[in-house]
Amino acid sequence: MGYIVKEADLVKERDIMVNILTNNRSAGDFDYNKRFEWIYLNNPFGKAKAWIIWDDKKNIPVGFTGVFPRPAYVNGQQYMCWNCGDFSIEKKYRALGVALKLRRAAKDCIDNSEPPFLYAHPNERMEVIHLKVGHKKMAHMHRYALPIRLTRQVQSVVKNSKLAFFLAKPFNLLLSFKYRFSTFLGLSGKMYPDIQVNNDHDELYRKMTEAFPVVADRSNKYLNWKFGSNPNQKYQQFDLFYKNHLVGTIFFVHKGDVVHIIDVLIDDFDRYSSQLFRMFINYVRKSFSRSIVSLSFILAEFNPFVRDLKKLGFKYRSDATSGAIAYANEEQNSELAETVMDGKKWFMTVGDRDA
Amino acid sequence: MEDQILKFLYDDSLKDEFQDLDHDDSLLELGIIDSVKMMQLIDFIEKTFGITVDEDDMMPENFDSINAITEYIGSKK
Repeated sequence: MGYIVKEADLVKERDIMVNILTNNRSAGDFDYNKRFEWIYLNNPFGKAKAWIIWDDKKNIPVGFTGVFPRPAYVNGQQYMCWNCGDFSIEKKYRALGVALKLRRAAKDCIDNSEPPFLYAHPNERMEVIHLKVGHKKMAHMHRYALPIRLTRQVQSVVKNSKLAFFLAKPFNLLLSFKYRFSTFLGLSGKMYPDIQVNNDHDELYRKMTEAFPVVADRSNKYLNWKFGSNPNQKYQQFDLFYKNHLVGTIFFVHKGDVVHIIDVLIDDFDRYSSQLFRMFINYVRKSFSRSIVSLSFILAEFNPFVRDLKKLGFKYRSDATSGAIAYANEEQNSELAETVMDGKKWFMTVGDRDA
Repeated sequence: MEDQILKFLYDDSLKDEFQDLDHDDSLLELGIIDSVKMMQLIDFIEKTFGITVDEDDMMPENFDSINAITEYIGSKK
């Protein structure tokens, strides 16, 4: 009697993994089959790797997990790392021993230098398993939100939607002035309904690899795949130009009356960080008319953008429950391990998660 | 022993599950235990009954029902 972890055959055992995900995750009309094709087989940096844990006695699969290869720059040097995802165990097998056995599969590879490090964004419950096998928590992921229209708040008080609309109007106008007249001359922006990245975006990513000690891949190749080819999510893009030169990009999704910022590219951080968001807010107001009432952005607590978001009026919300963990073998490469397991060194956003 | 374990596991948000709980019912399937709750349960069992739970023993067979848990504790004493 026992449980055995085996590396999965992504082609022959695809259905097993898709079924486990479908059985154990409640994501409405999310297509796990198409997602599998996209994230496991069509990853531009190589096929993903997965492990299935089997109930050896009954010879049935009871859970699986995957890792997705992604290059990352650490102190200016490029490494291939793994982004962990899809940890899923059938309900009647969710015992600690089963979870630990499965969780160790990826860690064992890191200990054998294949590849040098991994990172993940576990939820609160999953985080315990990561810590128990020896991964290190490096940051909390925090959500920041900014109301750009106060109609919803007024409506919660007066109840009548028409009255709320008229009462909120002067406040909304004042809010629009706050960002409209605080951008410097020479800046312009462009909204795209889909993903349009080119060599200029590659150049922004290159600059980010010089500005931040740890930054995972945001090259054209990655962005086109991650945001341009995702089968379950439509992403949009905002580019900021200074004198027709690309200086920043925001990737976002629009759900209901909220715009969710997913990831950011930036040229000179100190010069353009705040301007990028100010211009984005102005363009969101203009492009979506009155249908958007707030912006939301989940990012690591130490991300340098946090300071600017707060200055712009974004408020911390306690409802983003994931953490960020990393693991590298300290005995094999102490300098690398020290850097990648320090959350203050990472430029990390919710865009660094699997999707 | 059963009562001590039940008292430890009791969660008001699952009171319906606890109401008719048979000692052979699957605690994992009912959602009474998952890997995190199991970590707390193991800590409780080790302190209360003076045994050490090996990682290889932290499997569904030993923790899926009240009877399985008491049997397991009995076998380690």
